[in-house]
Amino acid sequence: MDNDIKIGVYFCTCEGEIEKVIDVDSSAKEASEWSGITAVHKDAFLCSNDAIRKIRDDVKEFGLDRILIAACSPFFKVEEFSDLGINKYFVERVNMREQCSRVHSNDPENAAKKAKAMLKIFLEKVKNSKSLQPVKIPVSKSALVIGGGVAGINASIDIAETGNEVLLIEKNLFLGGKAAELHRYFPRMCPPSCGMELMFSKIKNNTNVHVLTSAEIDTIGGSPGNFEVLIKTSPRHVDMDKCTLCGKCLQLCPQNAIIYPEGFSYPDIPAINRKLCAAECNKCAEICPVDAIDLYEEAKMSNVKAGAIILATGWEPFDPAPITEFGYGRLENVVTNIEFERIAKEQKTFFDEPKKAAFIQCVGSRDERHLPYCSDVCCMVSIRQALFIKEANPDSSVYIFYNDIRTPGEYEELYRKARKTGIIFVKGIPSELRQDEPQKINFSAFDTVAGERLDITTDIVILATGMKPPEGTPDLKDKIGITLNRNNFIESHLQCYPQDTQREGIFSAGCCRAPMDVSRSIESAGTAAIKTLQFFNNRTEIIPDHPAVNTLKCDVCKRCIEECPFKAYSFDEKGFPKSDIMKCRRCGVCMGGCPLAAISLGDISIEQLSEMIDAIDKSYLGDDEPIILGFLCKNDAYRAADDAGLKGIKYPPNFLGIMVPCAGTVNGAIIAKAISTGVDGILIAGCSDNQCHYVQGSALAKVRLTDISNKLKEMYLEPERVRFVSINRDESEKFAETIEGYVKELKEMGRNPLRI
Amino acid sequence: MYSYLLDKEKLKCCYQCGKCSSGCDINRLDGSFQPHRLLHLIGMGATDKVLKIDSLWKCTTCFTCSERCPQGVKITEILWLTRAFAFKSGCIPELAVIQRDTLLKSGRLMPVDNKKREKAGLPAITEESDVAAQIFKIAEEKEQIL
Repeated sequence: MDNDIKIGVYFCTCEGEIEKVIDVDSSAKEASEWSGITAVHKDAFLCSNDAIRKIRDDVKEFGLDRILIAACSPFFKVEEFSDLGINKYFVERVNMREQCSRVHSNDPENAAKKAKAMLKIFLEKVKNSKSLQPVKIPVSKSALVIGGGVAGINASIDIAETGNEVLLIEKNLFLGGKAAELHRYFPRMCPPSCGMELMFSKIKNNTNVHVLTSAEIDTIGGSPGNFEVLIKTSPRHVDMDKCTLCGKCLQLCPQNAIIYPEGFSYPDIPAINRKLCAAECNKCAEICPVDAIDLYEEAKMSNVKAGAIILATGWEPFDPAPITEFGYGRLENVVTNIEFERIAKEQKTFFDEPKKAAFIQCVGSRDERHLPYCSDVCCMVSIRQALFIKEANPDSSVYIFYNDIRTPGEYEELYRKARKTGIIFVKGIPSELRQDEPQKINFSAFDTVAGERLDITTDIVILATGMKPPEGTPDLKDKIGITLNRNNFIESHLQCYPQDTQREGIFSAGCCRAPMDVSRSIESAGTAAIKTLQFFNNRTEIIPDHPAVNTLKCDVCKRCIEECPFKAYSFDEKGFPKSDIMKCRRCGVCMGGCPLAAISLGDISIEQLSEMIDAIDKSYLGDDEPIILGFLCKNDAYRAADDAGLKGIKYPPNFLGIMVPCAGTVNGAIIAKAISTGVDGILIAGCSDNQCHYVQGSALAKVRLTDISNKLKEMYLEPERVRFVSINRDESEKFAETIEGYVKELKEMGRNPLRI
Repeated sequence: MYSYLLDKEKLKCCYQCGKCSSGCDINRLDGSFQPHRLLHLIGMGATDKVLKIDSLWKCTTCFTCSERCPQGVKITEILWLTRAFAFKSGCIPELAVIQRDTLLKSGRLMPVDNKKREKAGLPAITEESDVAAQIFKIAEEKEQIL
């Protein structure tokens, strides 16, 4: 095959930028003598329209199969070189400017030698490349939203209003979630019913939204774009279509088993709590004039197809009972903030007389033994609730015992208002609550600012309890295969893709991701909805560059299945592992981990890397100079190396860099091959552990390299010949220093005895 | 060594919420003993100052603060260590010296007041105890085993 393919090599002098260091003419002359090279051309601006036209003409004239472009970094001028008249996977870029001429301008002689070595390596790469054509995969453009709270409702509306179908499922009888239970929203102090009603009317009026209440996920199968979801719906016992809300059943029921919708509810149809029903009682079903009640209705299972899933499972209040010193559940008048919200909403008499009230902040939150994180909203909630008391009755005395008051952004106004109103803020958390006289709570707190102890007796103590993920989250994790962080919130790459879970096509919105207030929940719902729509649009045509398993080599050890950070692998019908084109994010961690080197990414294969290593002239700088082969991660290290070029930071020309998607892509077999053919040092450069975009690529690379250096030790070779270094995007100086230091070390070590 | 031990006890995690001082029974009786303040000073590196604070010796080691600390700071242990360090560096309150001598001499923490005993109709105690010597002997044996 090698003899038949026609390759064109195109050099750019970059208006002298490259040429002033490397003699491009002689490189071109030399290259034209290599086998398979059909066309060689040099241009001052290879990215100019004329030059591109010339390449395209050459493709037609000579029938070129492959193109090698020796110019700037592959991250520059991407668009210009994207369409040269052949499949873009048959075009390879040699980074002649950023990683050769500019960094070795002080050593033109060796720079030319390195340039030649680089050309040979990438010539071998392009020779062995495969053409990849986008494939069409039908994506079901309907979304499933799990959780009918503020986040879920808003995400559903956002998606539906762009013309896509949405199924919103809620495990409770009515939509609204926790926000519907609130008395007032901050900072504007409007009742939630106002905003909720608007949302509900949007749901009612939009035919794209379908709502299922008292429904839960049973199983999720299929793959992104085409999830198959089995939903279990518990019986409501009232037919939603028939019921007219006449209320006859409600007046009749002796057991109060009819759950009647409150002022603003969706759906505004009652339900029957069968647990409260008296045996054999059938009165409501008999009286119902429209025959809407079926007391023997059973749970239903339904199958749904969904292209993408948004998780908006919300939160649960922390139960403060385990913090025994606060006496929650034991002492009267010690309530949580959620309970106080209900008092504020329903027991108006509470505010008739002036009260003495105390709020205790950070109950459970920021506590190593309970919720290690800050629950984000409790400060604002307590201030708001304190204002209810103070504003209803200015003679009330209200204390807030805090650790730190956190009212970020505009909420500071709320804090200032509270201070002005006369609410007393004490820095110092009480240690225990007592009840020395009935209906009163006694406690002492140390005011750390005043340096004095306060003894206080109040009518009520409100514990500002935080948010925790719902009980069912781990269960959901098992069903969907998402990952959770150490606090059981849904994990994401918070900085770059907060709305993405670690599974393709599954997004998260609202408090299931992290504690947040209503406004941020709505925002997060918006981003999740946008991401869902993007997913629908982008996934219709996909380049099949996902890893393929060589089934002739594979012995089904299942390591790829275990290590894949995105759980993209499953078994095919013959029992071999197979990556799902929709789930895969092309990190190549499987390719790096495969003990038999049987897995290859579409655009960079094990065979290709192996041929490239063979093509390295190990003595390109002479017999005494060590050479380093570097595998640079695409996101960070390769770009840091490019930066070094842009800044003109110098490092020795002993280094040859190859770009890989992730540090985890590099297979041990490739490293072994490089060492055994005489490469003196291997450098794998990736991001720091916690910054890896592919979750654990760098960490795995490190572990694998340790294994290899142990093996080198057994072979009486220096274990330092392979090393991992973490280079962040902005650490170009560190990159140059690393190479300089490594070359020095390798010189001391002496040349690789395996070099011929 | 001292700072190493303190690090281990998560001293640096203290948020100064004051829950330790709020719940401290000694603080209730004597406001000068403020565990959170001692922790703050130790954390700031003002150890020399802390060693000379008399109230350091008032802790009864009831462990309430350690039990309730939201950050899991081992407050009692830290104060314990600080006392040991103070003792080593010679910052010993007078009372502690008396207590030590009494303990070594008689095996009791409090000196015996025979006049009071007489008033109460109790016989006088004169003999010296060898409890301390015994304790030291046991300690030496243990040390050898370890």
